[in-house]
Amino acid sequence: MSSRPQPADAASAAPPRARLSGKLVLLAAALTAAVGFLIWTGTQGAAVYYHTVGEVRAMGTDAYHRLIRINGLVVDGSIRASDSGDQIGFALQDDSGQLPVEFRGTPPDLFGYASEDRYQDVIVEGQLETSGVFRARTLIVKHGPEFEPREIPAQ
Amino acid sequence: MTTDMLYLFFGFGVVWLGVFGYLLYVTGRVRGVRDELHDLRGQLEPSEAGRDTPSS
Amino acid sequence: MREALAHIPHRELPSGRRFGLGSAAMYALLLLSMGLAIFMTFVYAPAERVQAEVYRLLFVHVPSAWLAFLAFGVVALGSVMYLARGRQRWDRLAHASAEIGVMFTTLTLVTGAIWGRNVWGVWWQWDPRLTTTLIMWFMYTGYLSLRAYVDDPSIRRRAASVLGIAAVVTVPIVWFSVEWWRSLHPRPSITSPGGGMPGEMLVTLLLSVGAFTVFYLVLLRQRMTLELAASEVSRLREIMQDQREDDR
Repeated sequence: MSSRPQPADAASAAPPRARLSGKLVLLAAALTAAVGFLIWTGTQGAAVYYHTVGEVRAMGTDAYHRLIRINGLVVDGSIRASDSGDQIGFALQDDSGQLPVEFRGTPPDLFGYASEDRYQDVIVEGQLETSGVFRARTLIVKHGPEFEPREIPAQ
Repeated sequence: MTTDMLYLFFGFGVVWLGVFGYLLYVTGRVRGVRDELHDLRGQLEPSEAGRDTPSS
Repeated sequence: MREALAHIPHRELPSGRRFGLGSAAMYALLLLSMGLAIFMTFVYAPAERVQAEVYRLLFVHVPSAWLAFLAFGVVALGSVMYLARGRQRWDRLAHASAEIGVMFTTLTLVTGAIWGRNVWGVWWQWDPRLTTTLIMWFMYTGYLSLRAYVDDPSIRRRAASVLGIAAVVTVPIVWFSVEWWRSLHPRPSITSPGGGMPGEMLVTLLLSVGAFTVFYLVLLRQRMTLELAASEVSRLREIMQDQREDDR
């Protein structure tokens, strides 16, 4: 236990050191393998965290009935509630065009937040149906790195 | 109170509980180990007076 | 034997009720900076345009993440120095810092989940930043488990040092994850194009980071004292054991 190097300990410490290097190599190898595997699955397994609207359109029929995430901007004024009220529809767009999306459930509080010059950036998770409508089971509101003070109306 | 305020206070509650809880936990353990050390030293010192060279 | 008992200087191991000027000043600084950070977080910083109030979680989420990075950097430093110099003090530094780093990583994940639930609408997503942070968390809980399960102190310290150095690669991976891969988590506000925040928020954030750093130093000091006292206790127990055997 003593931290001081002692002659008696030094001699007896030699064998464990030799055993240790083997263990350490194994440990390092296991660790490298684990991290490598995680990085590999992270980048290859799911390919990317989300696709763009354009990429999904480019996939053609391959895009149908696969669980994917798509990122895009909500087209201004396209949000509408279904007659029953438990479903909303809107159009998702990027430079390549638009994609109709239907979502059943409660959207996040900040969904539909309109600002003067900005479209809302969202990620939808779900499946593209052969009808061309994307059925989202999850609706995520993206938020960028910008923070601005709330304007207090002048009195 | 708006919903986002609830989330805000929930978040802060977790953080304060976490850091101060951890500080108290560590401080408590330091105190415990210190007392133990004190006892051990007390037990060792008298018995050592009569000993010549221990093996340490 | 006198020498063995005085093995650890009193300065390092306050066995009595010593409460020095140094620690008093440190706790005073901690209370002052934390108090100021809380005031600025809730009073001085303005509400945000889109997120209103919940964005104030920034002032604990970012400092927690920063301290996790700092703590794991210190683990790597302590590990390198232990392997190079063989001083147990460096190993204690690494161990203490790892435990604090895991705590701050946990707080980062939890505050992130709460914030995410309100703004994104989800508690968790397998996005690169969140996933790599979780991997980092597992790396260092693995480090702590390794320390807990290896009995031989010398092997434990050496193995932990190797892991402590290897695991630090997760820190830049977490940091750059938002640059390298598409993610839900935003890029750093201060340095990214399109990012930014008004001066009041920035000052509050920087002060909060400072206050949390003081907190880290206080925790580190306490945790290292604990480590030292615990190792001294087990050393004394061994001596007592030897004595009992000798007496027989």
